[in-house]
Amino acid sequence: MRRNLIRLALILLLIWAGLYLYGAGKMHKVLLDNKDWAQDAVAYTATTPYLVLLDGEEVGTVRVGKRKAGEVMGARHTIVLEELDEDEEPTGKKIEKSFSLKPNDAPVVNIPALVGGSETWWEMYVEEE
Amino acid sequence: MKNTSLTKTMHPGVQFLINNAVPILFVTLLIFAVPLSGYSGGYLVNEMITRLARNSFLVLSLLIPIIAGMGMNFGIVLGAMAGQIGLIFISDWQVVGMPGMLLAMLISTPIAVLLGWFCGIVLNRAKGREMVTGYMLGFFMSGIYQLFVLYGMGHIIPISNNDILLPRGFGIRNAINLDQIQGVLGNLINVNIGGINIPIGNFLVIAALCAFIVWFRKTKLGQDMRTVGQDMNVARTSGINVERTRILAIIMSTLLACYGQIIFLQNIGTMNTYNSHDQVGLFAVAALLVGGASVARGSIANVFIGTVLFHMVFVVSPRAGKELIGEAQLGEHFRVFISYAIIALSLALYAWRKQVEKENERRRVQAQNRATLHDQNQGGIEA
Repeated sequence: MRRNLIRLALILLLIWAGLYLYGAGKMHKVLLDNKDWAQDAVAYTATTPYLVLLDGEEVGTVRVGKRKAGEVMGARHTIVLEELDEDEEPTGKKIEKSFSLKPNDAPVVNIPALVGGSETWWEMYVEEE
Repeated sequence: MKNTSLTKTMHPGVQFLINNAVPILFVTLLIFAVPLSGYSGGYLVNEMITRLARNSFLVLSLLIPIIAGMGMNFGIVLGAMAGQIGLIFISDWQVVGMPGMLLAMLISTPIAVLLGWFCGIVLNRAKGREMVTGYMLGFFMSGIYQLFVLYGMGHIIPISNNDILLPRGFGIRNAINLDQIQGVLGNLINVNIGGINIPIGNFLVIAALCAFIVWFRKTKLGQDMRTVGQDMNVARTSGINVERTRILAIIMSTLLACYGQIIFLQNIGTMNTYNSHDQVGLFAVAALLVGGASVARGSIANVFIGTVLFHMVFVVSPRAGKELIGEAQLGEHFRVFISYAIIALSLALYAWRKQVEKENERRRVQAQNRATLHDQNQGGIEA
């Protein structure tokens, strides 16, 4: 009886470890849109390019009207946006946000919405038919 | 018990040469091949450290069945397949980094245990012919693995990542990119001393396994395995469940080989779905034999000496072949030839040694009988 309980506990521990590792190591593709966006009758306009860092890793410059893709591992992340001027030189303005993802989330981050202070600045990626 | 081995019957120098024939042969070969290859000392040291970090775990997995008297476990191929299944799953789920590698190990653990158990049962039915049975079992399971991966994955087991799926919609591609977990263990702690890269993370894991093997030999199960390895009948009489002990030895070896294959492939960074496991058993066994181990005895030192010598030949032989004959391909063939030849040589030497020991034992018993008979006759005459 005791032995079976120990075995059961071990199996449960392994399942938990598996789920934890899955969550901690799951790679997410993050799409970064610097495009005009409208939500709940509020419009956000893309005006300036941004240098984007995901979890401290530089993804690159996302120019106005363009999309870039980055990759992150795990559940909790930070995104840093560094505003650039027309010559793509840093203006010194930085925005940092934290976000959490579920294992199957593939987010599309809208940079103008994030800069504009929208609550829902990312949405799930839906494959176009 | 009186020692009737060759050590008692031959000159110590000759004895040393016979006991270490394979490593001596390899060292001699390298004395000629290294200068011919033209590689620098630094390059060779770097290569050897990389290969030690990559292969030692797999070779270490062979030690436990040797303790249990089951010889070289060619069945580690089964463990390698289990490890690869784990890697296929994490590639499909896109779980990366250290969690990815650990998850692959976790997924493949029950598969390796199951395969090890199956292998142990089969080997128990083939006592005395474990090595050839294990070798054949590797081929048999390779077929099942191919069926499973080529037809089962995508059909029965859903695979969502198109990057690893064949264009027809089922079956796994021939090569899987493991970029996302490449070097995670080595990069954990990486030290560079004078241009020589030392993946401390890998060596820590290998050291932990060595410590485990040393500890394990002293445990009750380890002692049971040793007893089974020395004489199964004596072990049985002492109340040891011989069959169970042998199965446990194979399960442990298969499981370690499974982890070893994951460590090996994460270091390389790419997986050949249908071939990566093929030569694992052969190369690991050859490396251990080159290190001076035999079918009946193997130590941790043999693992490291063997891995260095065997892989040194691997590294230098293509260049040496090119310099010598102008054909790098010769070196490639030479590698495979060497692997098979070393196994054949070691087995032949082992069989010869056994035969000599048996003959010595027979002579000793005969002499003893003669002496007893003589004493009895003398006693009779005197009476």
